[in-house]
Amino acid sequence: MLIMVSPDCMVHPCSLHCSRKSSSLKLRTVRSVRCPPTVCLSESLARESSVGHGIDHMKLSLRESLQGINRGIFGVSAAQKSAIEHQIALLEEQNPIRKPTDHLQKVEGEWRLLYSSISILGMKRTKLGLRDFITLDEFLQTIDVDKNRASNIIKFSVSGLGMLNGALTIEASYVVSSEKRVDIQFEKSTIVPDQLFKLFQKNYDLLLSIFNPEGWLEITYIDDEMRVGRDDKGNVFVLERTSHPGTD
Amino acid sequence: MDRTNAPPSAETPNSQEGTSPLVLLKPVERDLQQLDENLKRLISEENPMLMAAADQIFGASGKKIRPALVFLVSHATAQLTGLSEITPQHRKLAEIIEMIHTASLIHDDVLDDSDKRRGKETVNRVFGTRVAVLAGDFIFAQTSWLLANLENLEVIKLISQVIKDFASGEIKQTTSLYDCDITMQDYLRKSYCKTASLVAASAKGAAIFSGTSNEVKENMYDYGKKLGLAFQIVDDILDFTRSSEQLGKPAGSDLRKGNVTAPVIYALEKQPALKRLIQTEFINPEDLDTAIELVHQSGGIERARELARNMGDSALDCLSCLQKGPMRSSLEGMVDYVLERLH
Repeated sequence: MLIMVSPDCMVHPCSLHCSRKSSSLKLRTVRSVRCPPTVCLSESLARESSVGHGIDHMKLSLRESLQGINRGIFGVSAAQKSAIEHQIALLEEQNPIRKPTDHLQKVEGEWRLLYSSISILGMKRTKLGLRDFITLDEFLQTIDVDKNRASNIIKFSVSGLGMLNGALTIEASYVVSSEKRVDIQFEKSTIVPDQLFKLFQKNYDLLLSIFNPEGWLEITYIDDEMRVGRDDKGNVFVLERTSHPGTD
Repeated sequence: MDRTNAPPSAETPNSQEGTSPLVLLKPVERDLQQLDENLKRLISEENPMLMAAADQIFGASGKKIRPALVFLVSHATAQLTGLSEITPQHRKLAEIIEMIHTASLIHDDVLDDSDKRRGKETVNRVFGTRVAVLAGDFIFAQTSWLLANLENLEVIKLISQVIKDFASGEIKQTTSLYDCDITMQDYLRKSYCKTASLVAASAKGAAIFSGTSNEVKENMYDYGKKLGLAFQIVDDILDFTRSSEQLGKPAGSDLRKGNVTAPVIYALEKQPALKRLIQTEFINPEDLDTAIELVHQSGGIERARELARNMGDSALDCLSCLQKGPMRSSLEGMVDYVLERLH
């Protein structure tokens, strides 16, 4: 691992955390910390920058391990799943915001699902036509902190019907119930367009049961670009912001 | 020309002895040869593109069991009604049946993206998907027309039902992949649509053209249905018991695709662990092998064999209305032949 540092600073290598499961290592430029030579580098600053590098690598590793598995929605082998969840756990240990519900503004806006432990397999998958006929596109989540509401948008495309595109939108409200946790209440769901609704009509309850967010959700990791959550059904979710805040 | 009045000879198959298909088909050998020639001519007359494909389509490699059954039942029932030989309608029926069967195989190969069929390259492999789809459509369309020209409403309805059943069966299968709650009744219904419907209609159609009583018609229908079901059950068993070289595809491929068949339905009753493996679509590399092992261990295969044997015995009972002779012996031999594939 290569770290570029300004000649003014020293970084303690032993405080770097990095899990590297991928064989390809990408070079990352890191922020170099400038400090007046008299103060030198306080240990906490050193740790912060080194952990910063560590987190970046962890997120990179995690993203790499999520390549090609379609967010895990159609199953992941036990070995792969265990590796992914280990990476998630390492990231959660580095959660920079320990009491996320005190800083709920951090979750405001639009997020995209990268991975979840929810899977649609077997007869469920067959019934929902998700085998050859209907494709699952993006999962987006928009959170409005002022109104305490969240919208989950699951996009579909249907190849047969001249590339029909549509979405299922599930709206929910939440209340903060602890420093990490929110309780979520299902409000309503809509499917557009009508042809898509007709395709799912027979199995609408099944569809909702898979994507219904009702219950509680803990925010176990949150930074400017990534969020990890765990719900009351033992599921884990990894999301990224759809538009990054201005980079420094 | 035909063998309806041929005296019993050394070539008469004895159903207790050899049940190799060639021996069984001896009594209708000439009929089958003529059918072969007619079909090739029919398809190539229409279109040079199909003429090139004709060999691939109606090549000699097919055993022609289905039209053979039509001929055997035709001769056997003609004996009952005093016909001296089988009629042109009987022959046309046999051709129609073989065409329907072949067209469905051509389309199956497209759907499964198969390279080989009966040791030869498939139509889609040699000529591409387009030609394969068009060839299949063309053949189905021809059968409709030939059927109408037979001008027998009962037979028209019977055979049209088969084409409808083929499509239903495929759709039924697609919409129940990985369904662990499938019942034996569902399975038999699906197998009927896929396989037995054609055989049942073939046999009954032959009886109709012989002008037999309704009782004989229904017996022939039942014979065909039970023979067809036995055949499908055996096919499904072989997917577990034969090695990949013998099958021409990897073992357990039905299960891999989520097609739950008789051995698995029985196994699910005894092995709940199997359900989870199927429901997760064998996501881990070792899962499919574990599932196949569970199917073996649970006795699912043995119970499916018993089901096939019972079906076969039931088919034999339906033949009692026929006169004893080479035709009936061959029909009885067919049951043994279908069941013998189990070994």
